[in-house]
Amino acid sequence: MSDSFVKPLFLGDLRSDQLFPYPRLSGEDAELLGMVREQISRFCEENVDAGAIDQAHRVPAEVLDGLAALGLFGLVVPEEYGGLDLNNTQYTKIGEELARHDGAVPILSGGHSTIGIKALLRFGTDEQKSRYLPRLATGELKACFALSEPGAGSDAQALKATARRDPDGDGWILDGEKLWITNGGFADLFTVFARTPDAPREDGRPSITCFLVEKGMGVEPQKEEDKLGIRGSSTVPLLFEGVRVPDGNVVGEVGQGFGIAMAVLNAGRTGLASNCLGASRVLIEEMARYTSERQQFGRPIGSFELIQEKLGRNAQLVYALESMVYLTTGMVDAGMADSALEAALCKIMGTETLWAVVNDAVQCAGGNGFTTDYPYERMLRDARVNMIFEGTNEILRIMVAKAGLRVLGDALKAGGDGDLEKRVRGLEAPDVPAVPGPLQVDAVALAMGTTTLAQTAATALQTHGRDIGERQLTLAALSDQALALFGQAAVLSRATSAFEELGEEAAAAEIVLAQGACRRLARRARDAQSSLRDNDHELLLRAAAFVSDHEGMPETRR
Amino acid sequence: MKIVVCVKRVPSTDSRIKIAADGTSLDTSSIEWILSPYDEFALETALRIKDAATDTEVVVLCLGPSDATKELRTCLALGADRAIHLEDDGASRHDAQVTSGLLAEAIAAEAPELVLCGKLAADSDQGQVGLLLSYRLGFPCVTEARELTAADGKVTAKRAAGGGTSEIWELPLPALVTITKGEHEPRYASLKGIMAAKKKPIDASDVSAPAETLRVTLMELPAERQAGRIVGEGAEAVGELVRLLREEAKVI
Ligand SMILES: Cc1cc2nc3c(=O)[nH]c(=O)nc-3n(C[C@H](O)[C@H](O)[C@H](O)COP(=O)(O)OP(=O)(O)OC[C@H]3O[C@@H](n4cnc5c(N)ncnc54)[C@H](O)[C@@H]3O)c2cc1C
Repeated sequence: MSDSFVKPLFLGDLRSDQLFPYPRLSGEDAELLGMVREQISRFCEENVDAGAIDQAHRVPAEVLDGLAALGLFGLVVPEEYGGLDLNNTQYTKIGEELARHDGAVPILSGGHSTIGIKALLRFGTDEQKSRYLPRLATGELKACFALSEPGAGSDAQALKATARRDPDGDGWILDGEKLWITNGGFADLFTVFARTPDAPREDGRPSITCFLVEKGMGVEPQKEEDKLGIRGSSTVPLLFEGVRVPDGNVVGEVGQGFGIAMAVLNAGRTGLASNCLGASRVLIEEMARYTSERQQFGRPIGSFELIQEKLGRNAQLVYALESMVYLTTGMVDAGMADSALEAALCKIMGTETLWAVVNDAVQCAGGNGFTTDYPYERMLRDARVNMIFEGTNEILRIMVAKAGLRVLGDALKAGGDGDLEKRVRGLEAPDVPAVPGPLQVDAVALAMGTTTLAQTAATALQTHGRDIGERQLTLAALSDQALALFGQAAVLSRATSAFEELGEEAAAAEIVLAQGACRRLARRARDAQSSLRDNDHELLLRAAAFVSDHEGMPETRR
Repeated sequence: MKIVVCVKRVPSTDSRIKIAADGTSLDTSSIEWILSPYDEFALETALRIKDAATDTEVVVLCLGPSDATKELRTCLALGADRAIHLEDDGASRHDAQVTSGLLAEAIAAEAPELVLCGKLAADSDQGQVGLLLSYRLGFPCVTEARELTAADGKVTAKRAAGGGTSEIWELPLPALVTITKGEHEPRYASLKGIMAAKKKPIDASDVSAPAETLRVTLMELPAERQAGRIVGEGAEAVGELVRLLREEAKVI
């Protein structure tokens, strides 16, 4: 299995064979995960105080040392270099566990393992790996990933940091500034992306190269940012002034750095999604407890339907999120080479689900939810950044839709005249995946939704042609359909396996969640699609133009 | 010195307990398993002896279902040298006679100088197995030791003896000691320990248990807690509160 599951959806292909059975860790892998997770969970239970970390704006050194001793910095480092060599699913589950205890610690861990050391792991030479990985695995060295700059956030390729050939030696001289670098305040090894104009690319694209820069080479971390949330996580600007970096510290080919950066980010987004999952689960537990204890009108508030709606809806969303994340990591562990779209959809779903959950948790706790005596306000602040970093959700929505349309474009080239017309009229629905009785309606909806996405995508291409790249509302609607379909597929996969393994009775709760989640997602897909049919977008864009022209609300009668 | 530590897998204390359809066992489908906390103390005690005298061999012994390897592997990651797993999927139904009989057989084959057990298993809460084992093995036994050191062919055990006093016992070897919470928190498994544990041996064999003499006939969950009640405010409420505490709750 090496193909994306999501891309073919844009062609109306539903690859059910990739869905069943829902992936599960082997006994040995589950055992190792269980051991590591138990240790980390116990350690966090006893030593990590999220409120104190938030107030102190840092994770205490003893906590970092303790986590390092438990192997936190070696989770994904191969065994030969002294790491635990966890697979994608195991690593992702550790992120989920960390996020149950604190907001900053999982970001710190991800800054090291998901992005900080990944370029070295995936593209480094054996020599570079033996030079750094053993110390990175123990946490003696901590890593970070430095791509963003003041002028290059979403448009990372616009970065300006520059490495010139060193006229006096065999290395490079690096100058520039990086911004918002997670772990930058204490990191020892920096994965830095910089322009290398002395080595232009043949295709004329900007030549960007990936460097491993040691702190001692002259990196200057600046003052910590004062942030809304994840205040315990280090986020700093970095200054590079004439920093000499030897040739031996170039990762991959000179000029290929941007591809490396994207490969690292594209593969890593399930990590962030699982952080959101861990926090969401804790919040749902808190909500259940709070709403059963808090009495108003002589009854627990959890006995009112509008509170139950919050518990039920969020449980459905979290079930869907969890299914998507571990379907994706399972597919990656089984050899899927390109998980960029699946991981991006997990990131969007995870960050937006957590935001909904935490908002509802604050609401359920009423005034208490708004005070610092309870964890809700901190968790709300911590949750916000997830929609911004590792690719904003806007950028990811555009990325998913464009990638899907590219697949469609390629298919159209191969399909010849009339193919687009046929797709616009509507293809035949794909085979309905085989699922147990109680889920059959939802499986039919998945198959029909797939056809609808294919038809919508073809219509968008026909209507907008080359201009489609600028039609972001259309692109986002396509992405939202793809997200819903991937969610429905993951839920059906997981609930089917549960049904088959546990039997109807034991899987009853799971089936109820699955049915609710599928219907909720299918409704999202329909909403996204109908926004294209109606003139919503036109009205929106005209309203936006008024606001831009008037630098605020347009003149209206008051 | 060779130390055998008997360990058991039990439901984690924050698992939500459900009774299975048969009414006499737990529904294990959603239980998280952990090492019984007193067994963790016992293992920690053994590892401290090993820290002090490196020629110590620590063997963990578990009678339990085949998927209890996670708990055994954790013991190895913490520093035990090897594990013996008596695989028996019905282990949780055995009475203490049967359990101690199976364990004694395995311990006898190992001929250790010291056997350590937790003072009781956190699930069955009986505290019988250690005592029965010492009887079967013919070892002297001290229960509920808070601290244990080994030197010169004997062990010294410290236990609480009521009213805040402590007793110090010396036992000749071989001996059996059951362990309770003392000063030392169990350690965490380190990265190195977890890596090393992958390569340490677990000697697993099926055992067949003799028929039980005792069995659980019914399990019941505790009654639902009743909602709280406010009987009044300030000093006027005291009389009523005292009456209710005495007559209804029967706690004073
Ligand atoms: C706490 C924190 C930690 C971070 N850690 C790291 C790190 O370790 N390493 C690192 O390299 N970077 C890091 N970043 C940077 C982060 O990746 C960027 O903030 C992010 O990519 C967005 O860039 P920006 O802030 O410049 O926003 P902008 O790119 O200016 O975006 C502003 C808004 O415009 C939208 N927008 C931008 N372009 C488009 C478009 N083409 N179409 C539609 N909408 C668009 C965005 O979605 C966003 O809503 C971190 C940021 C934060 C806040």
